[in-house]
Order: sequence, then C-alpha cells, then structure tokens
Amino acid sequence: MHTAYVSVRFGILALLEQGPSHGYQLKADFEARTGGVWTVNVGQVYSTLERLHGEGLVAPVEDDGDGERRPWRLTPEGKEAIDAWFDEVSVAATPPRDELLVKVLLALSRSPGAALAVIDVQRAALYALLRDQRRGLPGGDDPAVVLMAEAVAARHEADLRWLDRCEDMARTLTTTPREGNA
Amino acid sequence: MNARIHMTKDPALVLEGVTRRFEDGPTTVTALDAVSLSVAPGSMCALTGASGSGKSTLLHLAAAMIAPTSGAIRVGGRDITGLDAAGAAALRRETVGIVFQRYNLIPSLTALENVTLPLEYAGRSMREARALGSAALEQVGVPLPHDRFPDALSGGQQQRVAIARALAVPRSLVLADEPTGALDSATGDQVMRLLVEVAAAGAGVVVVTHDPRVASFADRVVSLRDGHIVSDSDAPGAVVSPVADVAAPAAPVAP
Repeated sequence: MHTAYVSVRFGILALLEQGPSHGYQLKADFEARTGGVWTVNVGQVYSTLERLHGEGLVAPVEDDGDGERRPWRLTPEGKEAIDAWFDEVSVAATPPRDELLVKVLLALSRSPGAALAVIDVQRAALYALLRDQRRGLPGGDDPAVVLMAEAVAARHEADLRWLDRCEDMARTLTTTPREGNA
Repeated sequence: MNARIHMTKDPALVLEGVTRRFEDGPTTVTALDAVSLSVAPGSMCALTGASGSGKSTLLHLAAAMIAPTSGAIRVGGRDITGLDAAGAAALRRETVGIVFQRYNLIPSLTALENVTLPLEYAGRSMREARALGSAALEQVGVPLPHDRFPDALSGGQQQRVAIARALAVPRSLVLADEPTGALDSATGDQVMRLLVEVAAAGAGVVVVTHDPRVASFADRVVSLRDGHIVSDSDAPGAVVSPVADVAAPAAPVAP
C-alpha cells in the first residue's frame, strides 16, 4: 500500500534523526511511537533501508559491518528529506473509496429500502466495533497509544455520522409515510 | 457508587410489545410500534435515531411520563404500565433517575438544595437529605463549596449536579436524554464516564443520543426508525455481512 510505504520510509528517517540505529530496533521503535497498533514487517524495514541507501538518504555507520545488526545513520540529504516531509501538508485530496461507502452507494442505486437495510447492518457492526475499541483502550498514559486509539475511534464515528446522513437521504427517497390509521 | 444503586436481578427495564400513538389533528401518529426491549442491570444502552424515530417517546414511557397505548413496561420487575400520576411521581422519586440535556436545575437554589429538594419532597428529614445530597455531589466530583448557585458553575459542573440529583437515592434505572448535548467534547466524555460508573455499579442506564461518540460509551446501541428497532449492536443475527468490511481503518494500519 502506497501510504503505508511512505509512512514507514519517513518513520525510519525520523527515527534515524535521533541517532544511528539498526533494522530491528527501528521496527520496534516505529511500532512503539505510532501507538503499538501498526505492525511493520522487519523485512520491509530492511528493504526500505536499502532503498533509502540507494537514494543517499541513509548510510551505514562505517566501523560496523555486521549484517543484521548493522547500524544506519542519517545523511545530510536524509535530514533535508525528513524536514521537507514534516513541512508538507498530509491531507489526502483523493476521495475515499473504501468498501463501506461503495456498498451503501450501490445499495442506494438498487433502492432506498435496500440502502436502509445495508445502513442498519453496518451501523450495528460499527457501534459494536467502536464499543470494543473503547473498552480495549489501554489505561496507560503513553500519548502515542492514546492518540492512535482516538484516531481509530474518530474514523468510526465519522462513518456513523455519514451513515446518519445516508439514512436521511434514503428516507427522503422513500415515498411511504408512516402515519398510523388507528 | 455501590451504596447508591439498588441491585436487582430483574432487568432494569423491559418493554413488551409497546405501542404509543399520538393524535396529531385528524391523523394518528404511531411514535412507537410494538417495540420490545430489555435492558440488563449493570449495563448502559444507547438509543439512537433521527428525530421522530421514537427514541424520546421510549424514554418518556420508561419514566412513566406518558402511558403506552398498548403493551407492558416493567422497571426492575415491577409493572408500571397502569400507574396513576401519583404512582408515576413516586416511581421517579424512588426508583428511576432522570438526567436532562439542559440540566433543569432551579436557579434560585444552591447546588446542594437542588439535590436535597426532591429528597425532602420524598419525606426525608432535612438532615438526612443534606447528608445524602452532600455525598452524592462529592461522588460525582462537584467541587466544594456546594452552596453555590447554578450560574456560578460551569456547564459540566451543572450537569454533575443534575446527575447527583438523579442518583442521591438508590436507583435501579437511570434515564438520560442527550446528557452531553450542551457540553464541549472533553466535558461530555467526563459525564459519560460518570454514567458508565453508574452502570458498572449495578443500575441500568439508558441514554438517548444522536452522537456516535456518546453512544460509543454504551455496552449496546439500539437504533430506532419510524417507531421500530432497526438495529441492535447486541443482536448477532442482525449482522449479516462481514464486520471486516468496516473494521479496517483506511490508512493507519498496514496489513
């Protein structure tokens, strides 16, 4: 996934800015500082390091040739790259294309009733997910962990608010007023 | 909060085929249509749905503020369907606590007096009412002194006073109508954590909200539409498509 690659790449540069480190340590530090929910394959770290080396952004620390434990350092070019990345705006301009959106929109094109049925099921699942996520919130005070959990919750909440809007829309498209006749 | 909550093995709230209709000029609106729901003690249930979905009607029925057109309602095992006005008032004094969005504190009474007034109406001595009231205010984290008037308190503190008023006597059922609606999100979270504690101590808590963040504090979320329950996060059968579809956050988690 492109976004994930970009984040690991700059994650490695940001960690090396704080001092030389080797592949496995970089993997562990990256996971810890992004809230412990993001697992990175150590192979991905090594291949990213090799690529960064090829671009001249990192270099092996001279006096240590030992393969896996080989420490890497940031080059001046790498320092420029990480500074530029932090200055860049990271808001995705592309519209979201995840499965939930596509499913609801396609259901709406079948019929408003079909959309409502899909909305009800997805909403129940999202609420269950959100509840489990909130219950699983680590009690600790590691800001990275707390903020990552908030990020995940905020996305679920945004999806739920969007489902409410979808429901409003689907309901205006149905033509069956629910007035009783008693 | 153990001392304040009446423990019971019966469900805190049961609705059995409850229908409520309202006359609206020449037409009759069915606000709630044969709804059945059971809320366990020691749990929080959130009711969501658009305006007109029936969620507020359900709350008013549970508080015996209105009576069902048909069906049965039980609070802690006790049938409240046919209560007269006096019986309903007694139910709200003794068994069912209610928290409103706009606190509904009496501005000419101090924080403590707002909590003790209903206790005195319920026949407690002034001394006993003050002891219960002080304990309740302390428990929900209203800072001293407790003889301040509502307009000297922040919104979050006023809502805490309102929760203390609702919990000053043991409750088996606590009903909250958009309890964080007038609060900023950090203060709203604190109020919700307080209600989570109330549930953890053994009461059934029902929260009406349109806010997913508020609902996320509940053990269970029930959504209403046109007087029907259309989804229930506790009903496994309702989830027919894979949860994994919506489980994966778009960006932050790599495979």
